[in-house]
Amino acid sequence: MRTYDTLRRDERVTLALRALYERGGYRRFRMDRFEEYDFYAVNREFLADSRILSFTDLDGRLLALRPDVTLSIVKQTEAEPDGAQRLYYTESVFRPARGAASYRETFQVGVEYIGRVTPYASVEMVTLAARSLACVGGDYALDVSHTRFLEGALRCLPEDEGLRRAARGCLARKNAHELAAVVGGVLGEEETGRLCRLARLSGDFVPTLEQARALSVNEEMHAAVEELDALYRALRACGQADGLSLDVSVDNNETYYDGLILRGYIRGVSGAVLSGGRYDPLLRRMGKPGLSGLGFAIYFDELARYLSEPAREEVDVLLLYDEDADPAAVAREAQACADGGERVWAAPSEPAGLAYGRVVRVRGEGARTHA
Amino acid sequence: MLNVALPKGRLGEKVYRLFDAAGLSCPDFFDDHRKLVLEGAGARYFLIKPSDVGIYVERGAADIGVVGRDVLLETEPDVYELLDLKLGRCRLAVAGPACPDVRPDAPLRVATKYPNVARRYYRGRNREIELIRLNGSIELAPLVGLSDVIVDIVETGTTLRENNLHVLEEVADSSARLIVNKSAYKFKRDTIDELLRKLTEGWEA
Repeated sequence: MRTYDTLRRDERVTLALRALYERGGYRRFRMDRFEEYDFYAVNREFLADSRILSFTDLDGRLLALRPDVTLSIVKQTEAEPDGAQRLYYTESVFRPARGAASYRETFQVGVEYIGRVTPYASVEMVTLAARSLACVGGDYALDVSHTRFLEGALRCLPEDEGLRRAARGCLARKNAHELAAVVGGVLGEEETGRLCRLARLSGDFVPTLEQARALSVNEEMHAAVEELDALYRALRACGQADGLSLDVSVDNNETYYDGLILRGYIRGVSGAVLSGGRYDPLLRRMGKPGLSGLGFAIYFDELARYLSEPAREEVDVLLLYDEDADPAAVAREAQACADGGERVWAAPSEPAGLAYGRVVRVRGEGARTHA
Repeated sequence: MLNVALPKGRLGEKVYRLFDAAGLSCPDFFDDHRKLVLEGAGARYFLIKPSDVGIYVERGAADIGVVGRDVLLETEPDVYELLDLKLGRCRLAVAGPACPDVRPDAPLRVATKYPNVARRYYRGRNREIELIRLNGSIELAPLVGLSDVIVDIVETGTTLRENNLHVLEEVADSSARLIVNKSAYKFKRDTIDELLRKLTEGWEA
């Protein structure tokens, strides 16, 4: 048995992702210290959940167990406005568990590209996202979207943030009937109908993009469509467009993202396992207005059940020793099996439920027989 | 094969008839039985408590489901809401005695089985409340002094009238909605769209 074979499936996926990112020129970012609670508290709007698990350090400072990694990367980035810093991380984050009244430690792997996000950088990131989903295994779907398309579409609404938030919520749930009720009072029939069509505008990239183009009514929407079009053409030209679809109403945090949005799904996993996009607003908020950022994270909490393996006790060698066997002889035999790459289980009698390949017996005097 | 979560109870009866009219019938829909899983043509139906439909769909145990908007507002599952089936219409409302004895210096006592809806509603009005979570016979609470008002669904208003209670404020309208798991919509899109088409035609007929 090779060392690699002793890894669990989620560990093997993590290694494959690390290899993917390392080969792409991404350097590993390690979170080796705790951020102050205030760091997260003042940037709460950028967190997936505003609740933060805090503790007091030895010197009395209030620190937090990280709910997010990207914030720390953005804080520490040394990227130049004309350059590119490529980083990835494999870290635990601490957030309230879905459906449970407690915090949970969950594992995340993520990629960040900070500096000047060129059209090539977008192609690189979408390609990495698709390949990351392929590393997980099984069928995948990668939704691409652009915040400016939807924001452009919502320009027809009055400057009422409550109304826009309600409209965004309906679009994110693909809820055209409620959207019609929300905006129907302030928009005409034609504009209401156009917004409602956006709620269901998702599917195969090319036909969906053409429908989006036909529904574009201002420069902001046109520009978003052209950017998506150029991105798709480049991805198709380099053979990376498989599994890609367009969903103009992807749910997103509009204070965090501005531009490209990515959302990845695996068949058989109930929620999105990959989420990311272009986060220039976060960089501006952190005092780095000259920089752009693009990245995504893969959520292993969503993948936990998918990647888990059935619990089973299975070894290559069952080492059965007599009660009066010399412990050193048993240890030598067990070590010899392990050194030979076999998984070994030493016991004085056969354990119930253990599956094994062969049996080695160690008698009282150390003699061995094989069965 | 689609897994479909349907509500048991009064709303369920209406929903089964709609599925039947859309040609999505299942022989066991109208039989008296205690089965929880019914096999139909191309679909497997789970009959579950209405308040649980959202969680079955969000977690992917069911690909789609039918649930009242009142339940969606309360549980806020992370799902797509694709159709208003226009069945089981009712409204969520604040109800109580015509002139509730409300003390301005004390929190309003609100009895409800919709705590999240009630909390959001009164937060939007800057009104401090004391939430009393009940599971049934909500209308009794203001009659015996357990609460000042209730937040509950009102269909015909008969129960309120017979107990001298009145609708004081409207909170939201409700009707049955068809919800879809986000991941299932990516991988079973054609089957789900076909079902939506049949349901829409069935109810328009």
